[in-house]
Amino acid sequence: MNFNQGIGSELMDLNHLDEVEAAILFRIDGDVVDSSFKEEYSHNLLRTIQWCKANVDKVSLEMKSNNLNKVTYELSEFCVIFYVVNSILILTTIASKNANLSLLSIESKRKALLISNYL
Amino acid sequence: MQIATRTTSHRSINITTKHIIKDVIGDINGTPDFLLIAYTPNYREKRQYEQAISKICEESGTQNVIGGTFPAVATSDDIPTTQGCSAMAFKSSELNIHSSVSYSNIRINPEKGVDKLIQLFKDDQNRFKTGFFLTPGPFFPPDAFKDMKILDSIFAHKFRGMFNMIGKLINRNMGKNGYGVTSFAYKMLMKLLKNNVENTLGGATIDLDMLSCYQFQGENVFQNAMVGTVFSSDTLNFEHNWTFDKSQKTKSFELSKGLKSSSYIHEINERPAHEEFLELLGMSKELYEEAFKNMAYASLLYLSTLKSKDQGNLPFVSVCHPTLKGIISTIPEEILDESEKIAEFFTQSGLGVQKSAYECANTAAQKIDHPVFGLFINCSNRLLIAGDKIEEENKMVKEAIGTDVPFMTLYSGGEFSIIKNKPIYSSVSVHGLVAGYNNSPQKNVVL
Repeated sequence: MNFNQGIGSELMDLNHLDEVEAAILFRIDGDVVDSSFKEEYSHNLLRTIQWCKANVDKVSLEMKSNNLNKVTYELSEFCVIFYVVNSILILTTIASKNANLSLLSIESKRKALLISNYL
Repeated sequence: MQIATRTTSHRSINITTKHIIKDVIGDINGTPDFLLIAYTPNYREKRQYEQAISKICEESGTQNVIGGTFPAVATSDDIPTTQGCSAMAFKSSELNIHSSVSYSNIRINPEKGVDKLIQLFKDDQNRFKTGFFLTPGPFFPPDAFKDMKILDSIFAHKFRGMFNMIGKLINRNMGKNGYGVTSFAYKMLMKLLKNNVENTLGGATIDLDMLSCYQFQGENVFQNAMVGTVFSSDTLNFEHNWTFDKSQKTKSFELSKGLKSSSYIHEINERPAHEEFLELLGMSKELYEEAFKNMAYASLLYLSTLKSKDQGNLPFVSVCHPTLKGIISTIPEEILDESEKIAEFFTQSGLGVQKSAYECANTAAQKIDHPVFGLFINCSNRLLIAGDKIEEENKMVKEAIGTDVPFMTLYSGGEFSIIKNKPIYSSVSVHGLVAGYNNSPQKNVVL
């Protein structure tokens, strides 16, 4: 497997940023297409991922109906950015609560565009 | 003239560098005359940047390289990135780009460093010339402000007017620890001006996490250096401009008392500066802390400007820390001295940031009939305001200077220019240079 290119590599790039804990490509029904995690992860992170998985369908419906490209949630321990990749895929970036969301959203947008080019 | 640009993004600096070598150096037929390289700071270790720059020098065959680290980098043909590299390569018989210079102790001895740039100007006989230089940026280690608390004492307030020693101490302390940019950058501009430099563009490298910022020259990677060069030509003209988001002016205030040698403001509207500043923002102490603690306490969405005699309204950043009674500002001592100390308060917006970038590029480009390239130094605070809409700003710059004109934007920790013999030291602004040909030579004559 070539880790230097492809969707997996883009997710690893995103996950490599200091503040990012996980980068997951969800299908709008909640299935995970691909993902990348930091090597050490907490139970709280797993709970947040579970929350993302359970809610991605509702979030994507909301995004579609309101024509939104990006939705950000600030949870108690993490920030979650949902970015539309195409009509069926959502890029989800989970970052620490102190993350600089402006900088992170620049890279999330870039990665969403690059991932859509692979599809 | 051949100019190649590219922005690449990857978690590994080696892969990013490989792409730059393939796409930028590969696009230039032969050895480039000059390379401008800007990496994002997330690769962290100095050794990583040394290896990358050394590889670029080896593959390109040139040592005439300058660059640095910036929180985001962008070029005309790619999406901006916060994890990667932008590069611009030049090869031209019409454009002379001098061998780059560096000085590794610019924070402490700016005058000595700037002599190297002045020499390049003096050695050049071409009709049109302009300078380009990069410096270290603001740097606030976590306990930087605690060091200053002792200097923010009753003694400092009471004896401020008597000999201003405390101001000098703060200033020296900031210089030594490398906190500010103002004290050395304005001195550099002044010395360039004294030596008849008409035009130049400068910017400060920065890491928004305040961990490390680097400057590159040749194969060298520095932490506290000025790196720069001079562009000159007999046929190619250089136009500069600068601007900031001045769309939402709200109120004026008076900088009542301060330590001018450190731009440390004690009182605003004759009240303690810290309290009054928060009141101007309409924000509680706790909310300010919460909102800006990760951003070196910069007043991000708000900017103040001070009216200077020669330079008009100059934006500055105010740093308001709970351990201090006053606020630290980025006003050069000389400007604080000559102004009436009435500041104006602006609220920034994403749309305003975009419009001002267009205005900066468009005004410079209008004076050039056929633009060939552009360089922009854009404040990293503006980058944070724009967020993922930063691409829109780039599109507007493209529209202003021409869709096929290559340009590079560096998101900086301080912007400085000399434009037609006037020094401009400002924060939260965008400074630009557009180079190109004019059909009629008369266009270059200022009456």
